[in-house]
Amino acid sequence: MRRRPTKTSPVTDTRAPDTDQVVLSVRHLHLETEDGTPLVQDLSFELARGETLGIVGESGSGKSLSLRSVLGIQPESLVLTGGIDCAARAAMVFQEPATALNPTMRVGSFVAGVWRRHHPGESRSAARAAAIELFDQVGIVDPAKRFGAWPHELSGGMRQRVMIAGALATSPEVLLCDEPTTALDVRVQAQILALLHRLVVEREMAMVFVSHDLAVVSSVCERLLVMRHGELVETGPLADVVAAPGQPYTRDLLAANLARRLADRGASPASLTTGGVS
Amino acid sequence: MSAPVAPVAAARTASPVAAEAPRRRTRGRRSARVKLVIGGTIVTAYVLAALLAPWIAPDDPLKQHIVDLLHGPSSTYLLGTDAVGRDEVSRLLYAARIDLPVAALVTVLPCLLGTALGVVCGYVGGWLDAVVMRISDLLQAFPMYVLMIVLVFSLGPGLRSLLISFTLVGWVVYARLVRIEVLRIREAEYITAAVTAGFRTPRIIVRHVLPNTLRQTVIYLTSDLVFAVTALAAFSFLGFGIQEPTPEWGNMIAGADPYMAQHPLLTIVPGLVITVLALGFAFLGDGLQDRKEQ
Repeated sequence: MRRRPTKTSPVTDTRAPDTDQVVLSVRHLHLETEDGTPLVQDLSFELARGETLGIVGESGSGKSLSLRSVLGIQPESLVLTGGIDCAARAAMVFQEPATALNPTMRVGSFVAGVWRRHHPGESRSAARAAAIELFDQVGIVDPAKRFGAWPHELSGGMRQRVMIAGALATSPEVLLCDEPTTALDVRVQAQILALLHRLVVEREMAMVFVSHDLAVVSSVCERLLVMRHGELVETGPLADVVAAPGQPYTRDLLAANLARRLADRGASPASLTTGGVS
Repeated sequence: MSAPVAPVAAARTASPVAAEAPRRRTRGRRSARVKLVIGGTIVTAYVLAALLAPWIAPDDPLKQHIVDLLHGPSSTYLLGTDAVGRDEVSRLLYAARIDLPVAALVTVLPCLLGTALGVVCGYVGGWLDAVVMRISDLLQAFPMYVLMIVLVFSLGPGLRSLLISFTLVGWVVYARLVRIEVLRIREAEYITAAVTAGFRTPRIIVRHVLPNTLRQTVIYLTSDLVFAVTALAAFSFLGFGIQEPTPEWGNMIAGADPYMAQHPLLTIVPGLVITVLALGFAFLGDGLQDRKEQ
């Protein structure tokens, strides 16, 4: 079960390798541009049913690309090799809710349309009711009224809730989140993170959460995967990686990112890791 | 003495600079609204005239008053009569019932054809895109007017050949315009989101791509109406368009041409009527474009 490219790390992946329960398996994923510049190299990981995995790394580390490859929506110009085996329904929440919603479509119609696509034979009114129910579940106040709203009439946080409702409309078993809170202010970010955490627990979904922000990832994920320059640096249970980072890069990331934010909040790494994992 | 003046002068010059950007935007928005109001008023007036012609026209546009040929303006004939004694005002009003819908048709038909081709070419690409774009290159290599005249000439005069020639020549610009928009839109995250939501390509094209191209198309369509109104009149003037005795502004000018010296109003007024309508569409198109840019 060793997935790290180096041998110096003391951390091993302690999750039981129960293959029946694997919903997403990425093996030796390799992405490069047409002229041969590697963007992701030999990335392998597995995701079990109901498991939450956070992928962290700096901008350009290939984390978003890897996530997009799972759904086959990486840029067409890239050359992909390796195996991606997604045995479950997967849905994605995008980084920028302002551009991920069609400006010419009412938000309710979008969610109802997605729901109906995944529930063939259901009536329009059933889809409408389902969309309103989903709006309610993602914490949209007055969901019936918001059904007819245009994307530009909603705030960033509301739009992201709509995106999440759209993802839920596919009844996903795996939720792929591509920096879903990066475009939001800190207060709204916390609300969306709490919402995602609640949904993952309630619906027993697996989740892959990509972010450059270790603190954000650690509030919603059990397991951590650190990437740099398109390669996997380190992976393991969140508490282990944070408590004893095996790689200098992870330590840097922790120092630059988590420590500062924890200091701001007056908390210690230990309290965060125990508090963040359900 | 100069020392205390300098900061005041600086402050005075600095404040307009700081306020310039928002003020320019406000001014732009206001001028867009003014254009839209002017254009909208003109076009609405024409549409009303066309709709109400049977009630507001003083006379039957086809009725010939043999005793009053080329009658000057009077209380009976507000703008006089033409060479066969028909009331000019009534003919102008009834002509709107021909010119407006025909102008709309010869604009909308190429728009529909061009939009359909442009969307498919832009989104699907491949050999279809290559073929359609080469055909459009070919068509654009000819002067538009010449091509249309050749087509109308070979198809014979009348409404049918006008529709065919306008459509065959006019779709090119719409196809290119929409194709470029689609190439931009297909990279948008909401299209990716629609793809990951499991929608099929036809639905994505109709529900997600097409609506986002409409604004640009409508702006061009409005400007294209300017061309349609004048081109229609030109074809009728040349005898290829709407035929006598049906009143149409272009053929009214053609019919009045020999009597220019005796009765200049018969050519001037239909010309003005065409120009003002074209101006109305131009204002509308301009206003829409301005509003889009803000």
